[in-house]
Amino acid sequence: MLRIPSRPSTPPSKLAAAAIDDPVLIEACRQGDRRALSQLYALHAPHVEQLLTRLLGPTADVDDALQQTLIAATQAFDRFRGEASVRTWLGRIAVHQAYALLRQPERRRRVPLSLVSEQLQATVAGVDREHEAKRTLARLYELLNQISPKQRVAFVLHVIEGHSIDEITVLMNAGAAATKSRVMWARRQLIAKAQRDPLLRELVAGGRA
Amino acid sequence: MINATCMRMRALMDGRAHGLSEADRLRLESHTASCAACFAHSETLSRVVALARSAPSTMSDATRERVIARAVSHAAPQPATAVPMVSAWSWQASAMRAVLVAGTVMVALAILIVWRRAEPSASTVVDASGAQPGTVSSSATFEHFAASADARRVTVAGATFDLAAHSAIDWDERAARVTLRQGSVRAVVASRAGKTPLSVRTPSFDVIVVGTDFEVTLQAVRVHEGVVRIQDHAGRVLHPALRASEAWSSALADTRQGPDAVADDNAGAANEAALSHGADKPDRAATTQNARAWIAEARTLLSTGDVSRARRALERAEQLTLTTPQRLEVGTLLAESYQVAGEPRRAIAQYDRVVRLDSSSAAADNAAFAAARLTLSSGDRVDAKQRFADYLLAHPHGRFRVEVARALRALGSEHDD
Repeated sequence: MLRIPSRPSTPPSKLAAAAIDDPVLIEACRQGDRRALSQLYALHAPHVEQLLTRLLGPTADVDDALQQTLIAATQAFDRFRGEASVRTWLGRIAVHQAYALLRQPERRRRVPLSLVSEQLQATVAGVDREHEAKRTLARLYELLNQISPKQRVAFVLHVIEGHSIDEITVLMNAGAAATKSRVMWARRQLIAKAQRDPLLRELVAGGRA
Repeated sequence: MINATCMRMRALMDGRAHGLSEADRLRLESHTASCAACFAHSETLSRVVALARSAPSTMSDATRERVIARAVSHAAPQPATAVPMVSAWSWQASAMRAVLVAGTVMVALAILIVWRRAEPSASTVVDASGAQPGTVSSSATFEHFAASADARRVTVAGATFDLAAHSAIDWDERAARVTLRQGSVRAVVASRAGKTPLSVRTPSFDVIVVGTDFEVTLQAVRVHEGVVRIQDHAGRVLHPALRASEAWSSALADTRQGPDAVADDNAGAANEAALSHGADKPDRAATTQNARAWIAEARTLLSTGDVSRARRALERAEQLTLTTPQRLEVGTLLAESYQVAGEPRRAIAQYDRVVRLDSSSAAADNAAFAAARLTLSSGDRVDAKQRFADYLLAHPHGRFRVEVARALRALGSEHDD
């Protein structure tokens, strides 16, 4: 029987976010103190980077998106009212940046270089497990690239990142029904594509860890 | 094809990362224990999510530091830090400001208290039979007052109330409420956007006004223009939206809510003798409105997968006088309910009935295609092919002609093979 954990009273990510929001540091950032900004970004950059990686896949675009996110945050910091935690606020900017990147048609056609090299390696007998895992992951993100950006972002935020539908409606400026529908369509497409894919078929059927 | 319960369960699976409530968790666990397809789906989704989460960071610490440094360089140059000066003068200025603010607040409070005391009584009675023409017990509350030999007109808060002879009302300005004590009153109310909605209270119900022309007796309401909502004094809605040409009576209404009470009572209410405006036969408009309410209810219930209640709502709608489009919609919803319940044969028969009802309508176009598709999915390819061909003959410009042509091609090539 499937065992599902209950909802924790406060998500650990929120506790962590609240713990590192130092009001003195934030006030200094609002004033444009560069040292304070560096310190704050160093605290939050890994989280934002992880979010961007899940939204965009492990590609070089993550560097660009992170930079654009932090620049946008720097320019808008004087308008940060402190209603949400800094992590949530940066996450919101990151989602917008990732969505803007995903909407660029040339990006959606791009195949990561790592995937091409891995495909070549796949022909070589005895490919080790690490390479296999990388290749599978790259393939999954390639399938995600085939899903519309709105559906993909909603799916990643809800199913992978664990945001509530209400949070996503605010992040994506969409209604709850539209958000649920986007998640559902993205999930259906992704699983259908994965089940048809020669590389992922075995994994989703439970053949590989 | 998955059913509505499985779809709901899969939506719950999507939210597992956020966390499920205890009730949802138990529901999902018990469903996956009994549904092999959903269990397999859950496992697949878990593996996909785990794989997506395993995406490693591609950025080195040096790169991250460089990115941060570049972002921070966009910060506006810092203004010279102002050194706070605490001088005797600044203390004096602060004290002066505090005194000024306190004084202003006290004056405002005093004005408010005086104004509240001078305000007239919130409840004023205008008795059409007792008061002399041109007089009113507290005219300050009313914007306008006029009287004729056997009735009176009161204009208050932008609304005009015509009182029948021997009628009496109270006016509560704070609640924007007229309480009918005796007789009947007809009201013409302008829009009150942004203000408290005007209401008329009788001993048994409240009428909430949405910008309209209506008439109230102690037991009944008739709307001449616009929309009103009727509720009891506890705020429970007795009729959500009584529209133009509709009437409602508390004597005929039972304790049921929503369309239940309205559907049964409205035709009778139209004849309500208390309203002397001469409706001497059942009001067709009223029953049509109620049918619309039942159909809307059925559509909502069907979308949530509650087939049995949706069918009951459709049966109630069928008992009323329906227009042709409403009959078509009821028929289509009934067919969809069979489809949702997994009864394709009954669904096909019902879709056929919709087609026969009005073969040139958009509903018939939809029904003919749905019936053909259901026939195909139930495995009867010969009948499905015939139905698709019939569709093209009956609806050469139909909404589904492209899909039908494609299906016919597929069925034709299959036959050739």
